[in-house]
Amino acid sequence: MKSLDEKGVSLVEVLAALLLVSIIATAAWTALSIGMKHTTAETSKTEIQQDANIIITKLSAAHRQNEAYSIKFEGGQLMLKTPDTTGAGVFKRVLDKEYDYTGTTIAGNSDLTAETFIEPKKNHANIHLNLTKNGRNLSIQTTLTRIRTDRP
Amino acid sequence: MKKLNNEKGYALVIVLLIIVLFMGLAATFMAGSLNHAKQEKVVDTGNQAVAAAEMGTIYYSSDFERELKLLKEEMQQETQLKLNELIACIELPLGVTCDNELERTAWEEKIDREMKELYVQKILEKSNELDALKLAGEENPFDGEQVQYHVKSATAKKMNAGQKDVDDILISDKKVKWVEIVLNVEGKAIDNQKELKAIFQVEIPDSFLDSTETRKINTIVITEDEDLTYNKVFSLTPPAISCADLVIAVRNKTAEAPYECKAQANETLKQFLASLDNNMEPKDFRVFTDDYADFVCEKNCNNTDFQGINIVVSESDAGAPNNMNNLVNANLFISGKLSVGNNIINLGKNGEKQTIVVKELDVDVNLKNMYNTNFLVLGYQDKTKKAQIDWKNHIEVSNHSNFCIDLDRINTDDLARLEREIAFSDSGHLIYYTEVAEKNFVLRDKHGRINPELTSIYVTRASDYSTFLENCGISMKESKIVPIDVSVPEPIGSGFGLEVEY
Repeated sequence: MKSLDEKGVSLVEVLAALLLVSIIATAAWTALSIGMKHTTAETSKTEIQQDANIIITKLSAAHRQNEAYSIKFEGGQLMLKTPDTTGAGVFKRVLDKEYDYTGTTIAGNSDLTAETFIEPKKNHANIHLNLTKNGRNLSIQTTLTRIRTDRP
Repeated sequence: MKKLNNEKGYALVIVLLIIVLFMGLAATFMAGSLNHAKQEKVVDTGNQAVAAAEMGTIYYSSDFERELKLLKEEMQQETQLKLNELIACIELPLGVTCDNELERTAWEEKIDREMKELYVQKILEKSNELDALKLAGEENPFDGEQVQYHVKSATAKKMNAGQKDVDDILISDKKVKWVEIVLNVEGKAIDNQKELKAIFQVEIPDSFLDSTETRKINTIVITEDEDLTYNKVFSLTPPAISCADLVIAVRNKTAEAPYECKAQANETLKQFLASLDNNMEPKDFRVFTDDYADFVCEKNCNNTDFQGINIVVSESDAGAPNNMNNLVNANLFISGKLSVGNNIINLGKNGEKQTIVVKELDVDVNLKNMYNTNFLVLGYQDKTKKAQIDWKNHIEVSNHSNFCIDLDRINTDDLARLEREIAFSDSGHLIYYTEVAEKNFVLRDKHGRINPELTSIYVTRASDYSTFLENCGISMKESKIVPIDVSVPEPIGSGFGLEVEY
């Protein structure tokens, strides 16, 4: 009966162990991959959200500190022109990344190739910002305001 | 594992370590998450602070605008009150401080200047009131919210048309055209603050008075009568008022010019002249008397100084008794015959022009040595009752004197004698008037021959009666009702600008 002393592992046990391990591994992998997917998604969402925040912050600062300013879109870039001391100015990029701005409306102007001229002391500016990148889309609707001292 | 199995007390330690490890990890993630939330909150309260500051700015600026509107109304009333003083001066009788255009313009300019100063001063006061609000507590627009605003400071500056500070010593244009008030308002949301700078610019109008749209104020002014007639010279009906009462009335401004009075029995010229105030001109007064000798003459009728007063002697008065010499500064109207027992000589010797008007003249000896005197013999109203000009020895017109006669009312025999005997010296002159075109007055020699040369030098025919009287020094004042323009307050325009700096 000494030979019957079975201290090794039986095939059944091994198989059972393998099965259990594979189940756990699959579950773990699935969970991990879902997590990874979510992280990536969240990151890109946060990024696009951050960029949208930057755009709105910059535009709102421009809106409150200038007599007039212009916005236009060029090559996937939102360009902003604020007057310098001489009253003239040049268009500068608001972000260092490119986005697809299709669907964006600024102060009623949805033609992205045209320049939008805004006089904050006369009117508020309604903005519908639509950012798309890598299939991810963010839409923000806001109004740039300041105390209007030159109401039409 | 065996060893481990043997040391049973480690289980707790391991569990604790694992808990610490997990808590550390959780804390890190939570910190990140909380940090993010805090950032969001800062942005959020920042926006709220801006909104609060905007709210404050709108609140204080609309309050200021409303105050300014009230101030404008007040200023307009103030201006009207000031103008009323001017109107009160202009209204009957016309006051001495506003009796000519220059004075009235100066008065209006003074009002304008005072109003401007007052307006600027009141605006500065409003600015100080705003500034004082910084000591007041925070305004809480919404109950239960931690959103507040308050005034941080308000400063006012006076600016000229070129938007330069007039208090700057380097600026020469000191005329205030704008008052600029810089108001700093701070908005708070929880512990985030934002300050806004509101700049009010209030325009000071160029004028508070509208001189194009005026109000007519009727007043009585004393002017020269341009249309003199015989009736105006003589049909002066004596008033009832005594001369003493007239002086009081003039003093109280209840009398109307020309100031006329009737000399009472106890009144004399000397007393009357002495009773006049310094601002009363004797020439504006006309005194009627029934008794020339009693009113004017003292011991005799010589050496009388009328000081420019007009004296009208009634027709019933017989005239000066004997001599009437050395009369000066007189404006004497005798509604009848001037009969002088001896001479009338040395008239007007002090160099002042004087005028003596009589209807009829009877000098028993000489009429001579006239200086600066207009002597008019105008005859009677009834042209058929020819007046007499009678003298005995000499009649001579000399030294800037005019002898004026109305040919139609004077006895033709006397005129014929006058043509032959009247003598002229220096710049003496004879002025005559007649309605009849072919009638004239010429100088003749003893034999009745016309002397055209002397006639052309010394004799002038007046074209009409009014000119005749004017050239002979008759000037009559009349009271006329004249409308005088007074400006109305100009509505103060909405010269108000607001700028906000973020």
